[in-house]
Amino acid sequence: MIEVKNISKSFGDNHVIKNIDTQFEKGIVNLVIGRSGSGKTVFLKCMVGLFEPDTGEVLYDERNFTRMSENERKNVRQDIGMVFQMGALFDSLTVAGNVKFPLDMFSTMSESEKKDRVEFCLRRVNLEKAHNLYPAEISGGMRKRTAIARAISLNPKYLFCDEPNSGLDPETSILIDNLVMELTHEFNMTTVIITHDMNSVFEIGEKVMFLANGSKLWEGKGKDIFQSDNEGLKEFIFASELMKRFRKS
Amino acid sequence: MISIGIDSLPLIFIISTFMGAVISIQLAANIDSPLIPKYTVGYASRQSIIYEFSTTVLSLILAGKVGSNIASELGSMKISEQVDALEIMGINSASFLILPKIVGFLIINPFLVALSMVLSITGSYLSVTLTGMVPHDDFIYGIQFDFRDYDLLYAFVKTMAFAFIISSVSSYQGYSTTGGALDVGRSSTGAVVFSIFTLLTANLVITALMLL
Repeated sequence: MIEVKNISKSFGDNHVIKNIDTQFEKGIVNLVIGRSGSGKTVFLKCMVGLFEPDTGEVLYDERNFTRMSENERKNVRQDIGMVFQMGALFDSLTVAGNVKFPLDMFSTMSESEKKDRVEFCLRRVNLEKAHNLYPAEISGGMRKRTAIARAISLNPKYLFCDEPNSGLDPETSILIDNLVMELTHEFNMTTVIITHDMNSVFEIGEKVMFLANGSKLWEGKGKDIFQSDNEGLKEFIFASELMKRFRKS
Repeated sequence: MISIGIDSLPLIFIISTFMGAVISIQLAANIDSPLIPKYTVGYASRQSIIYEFSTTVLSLILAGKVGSNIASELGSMKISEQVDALEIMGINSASFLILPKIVGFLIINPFLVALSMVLSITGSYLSVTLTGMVPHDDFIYGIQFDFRDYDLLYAFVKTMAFAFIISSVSSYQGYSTTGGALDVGRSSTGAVVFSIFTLLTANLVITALMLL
């Protein structure tokens, strides 16, 4: 479980994250939703230590990540897998090379064990035929799947995804969403996904937190989101014409 | 080391050979006094090449090629979140990405400069002997005349300093890139400009310290 206690983050006079308190539970997909610019990515980066929060703490299974030294954080970081918005694959490495990279850096596996692990991860994301391709040679969906394979290569306890289906067609988006959910249940990970895709909320939102202007406005189970009487959340959910028609019907 | 060193070989080969040839032809063409011996062309070419051309001028050219290469590579990695991906894994991205570039260039640059010296002097020799401007024996005598080991020490001290400046300044520029593709271009330009400025300043300081 990940506990976030009262974190805030400002850049100059711009208060991006304001006193957010929440918990992300193990074995389920936790979604953080909100409009573009609502502070979702900054919130995620504060959680994983890419930004230092101005106030508050982040605890990974009661380990206080915020108060750790950089050396102590290394142990926690090896339990973290992250899928970046654009994949963040290393351009100079092949698909298999990208997945093997964390194993080379942190595992004590033999070369054959690493090879087996890479095979397993790529098979798990249906990329077994893309071993020797470079990131520039594969599609956006394949890049995301490679990033997911890299993220799970070290068997992480915590998986973070920053808009994993942005820039993808609806069908591929659903594939990616379902893949992340399957992996979360299969490996009993604590998964946190940043998204503004309502489809993801319906498909995989086991727990949802809604952010607006850096503050938490609503939190609850995905299935309860339509019963919310929070005006900000309603505006967000029913912003599109399709959702407005859905509400009317 | 391959991308910043070996890939620079064709450029070094062409520039050094042709510049060496031009230096000697210009010297030979401008020395028309019968009081100045012909071997002066060989001597002056060697000094120009060892003192300035193969060390400073070549490093300025490499600041353009290698500097922009390093800055754009690191800048692209920064804006595409590859650096963040390394940090998330618990890897110190600065030392993981920058240190090999600095060490690699420190190792390879002296070889590049030495090769440039050989190629420049070869170009120099061929240009003036094949055109008949300086006889073979005079040129060879000039090349060997008053040769001091200290000149090579001076050249290679500069080479090492320039290698450090180019790789570290360019790495800093690339690594501190924020924003998008335009900013990668700015970092790349900044890497070249700041490397050249720092390199010329270091050239002046090292020359004053070692030759005065």
